[in-house]
Amino acid sequence: MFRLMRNVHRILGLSFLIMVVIFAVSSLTIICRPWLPTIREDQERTVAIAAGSALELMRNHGLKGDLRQVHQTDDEIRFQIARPGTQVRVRYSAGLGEAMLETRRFGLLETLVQLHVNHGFHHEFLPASAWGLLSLLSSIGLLLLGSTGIYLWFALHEQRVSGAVLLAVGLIYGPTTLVMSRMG
Amino acid sequence: MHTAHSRRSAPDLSVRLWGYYKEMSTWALRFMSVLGVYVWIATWPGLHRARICLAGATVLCVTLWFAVR
Repeated sequence: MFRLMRNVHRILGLSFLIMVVIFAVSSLTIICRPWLPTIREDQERTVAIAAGSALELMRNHGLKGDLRQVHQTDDEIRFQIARPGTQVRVRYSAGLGEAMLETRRFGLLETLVQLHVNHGFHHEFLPASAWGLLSLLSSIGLLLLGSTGIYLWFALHEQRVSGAVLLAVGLIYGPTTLVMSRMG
Repeated sequence: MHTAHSRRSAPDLSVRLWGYYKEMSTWALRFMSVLGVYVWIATWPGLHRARICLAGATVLCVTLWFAVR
């Protein structure tokens, strides 16, 4: 049993290593955001299109992502085409028959944060749904990794006392502060 | 509560204490990743299936990264 659990632990750990690193680095980025430089690249361009169609921009002008925040007035349509790490704001003027594209491309760390919060399988942009699926599998993998880790620790008799102390501190401190914050 | 951490303007002590716990857990996750790889390399890197899983996951993540970027 010990050998089986060790192999499961090892396979889970290595399978989800990159996702765990992404979760960890992006979480630290969120915590340290005020001290980190904001790396992003802004570009503007104008393209001629027949109608204010996001589909046409995706097919003919290389835009990729999910359609968001659509607003329409008499002469103008505004929307965003976004994917993790890149947002394009589109302002289409029916009178001029052209669309102004404002592209914002984020740096590595901010892209990791956006991948961290990317979820669900409802995206029009397929890779975003694939990342969502990977995040779900990684979350389940982390739970299993924790469970097998606890089993492996418990099986090592000489480390039971020190491990039990650490586990108890975690089990008491976390839920206590959580309950306190909910009561306050 | 998932996004609470010690440096975010916490309204009271209990939320700040929860934030410290969350922040420490984040650092622990990072160290666990590094230590896990170290233990794997230092003890017995021969498990073939584990290497295949690592290689497969790496290829998948790199492919998806370029698909998104």
